[in-house]
Amino acid sequence: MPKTEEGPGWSEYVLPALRPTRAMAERELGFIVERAVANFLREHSPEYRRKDITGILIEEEPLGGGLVNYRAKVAFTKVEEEQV
Amino acid sequence: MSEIREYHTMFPDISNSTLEVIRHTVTERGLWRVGKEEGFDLIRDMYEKISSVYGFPTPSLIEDTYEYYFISGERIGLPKVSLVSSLHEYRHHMQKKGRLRFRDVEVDARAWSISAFHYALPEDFDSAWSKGRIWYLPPYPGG
Repeated sequence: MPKTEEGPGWSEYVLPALRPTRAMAERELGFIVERAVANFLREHSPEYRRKDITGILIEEEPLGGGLVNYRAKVAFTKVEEEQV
Repeated sequence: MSEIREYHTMFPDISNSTLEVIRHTVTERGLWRVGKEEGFDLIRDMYEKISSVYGFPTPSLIEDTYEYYFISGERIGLPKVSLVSSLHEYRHHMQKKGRLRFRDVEVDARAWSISAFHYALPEDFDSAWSKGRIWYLPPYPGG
């Protein structure tokens, strides 16, 4: 899935999915996070690794017809130490 | 534009009530001294208190593999107890409620969270900065 936008220390990806039922929402969020991470690693590895991801901002855009686009903005930097 | 900036001075006007909640959470309730489970409970309590300062609903917090904010669900995930990371994700919640000073939401969240730490606990902030334990800041002055 192509990157849609980028800025200082972040890349954003659009991740289409079926709208989850209420019972599946938590599990679906986990899948979305993993898909965003996979996209990030495909694009930025080996310069940046999984440990360099500092946060993910996830927005949900309903498309109708039971579909939804998740916009996942992955923030990253060279992480040397854990943040206090 | 680099992502490295002097974020700690970009929000000099954070409310005293918010800074006091942060101080109380760290120094009196011992955020950095307690175990993980209790630390997460302290962050939940901090979120509740800061939300009451601004009149926002309190976001939920869960332990998860990555650090994130899920906007529509108002849910925050954190992999570990971190004051700056928890404030960073809380700022995304504030952005959802209309608080945004800097156009780039990540710059805005870094600036608010790192400034909040700096102004609430200046000595702890300096110590953490000197050890490289605050992401996105330039090298500590003087090495």
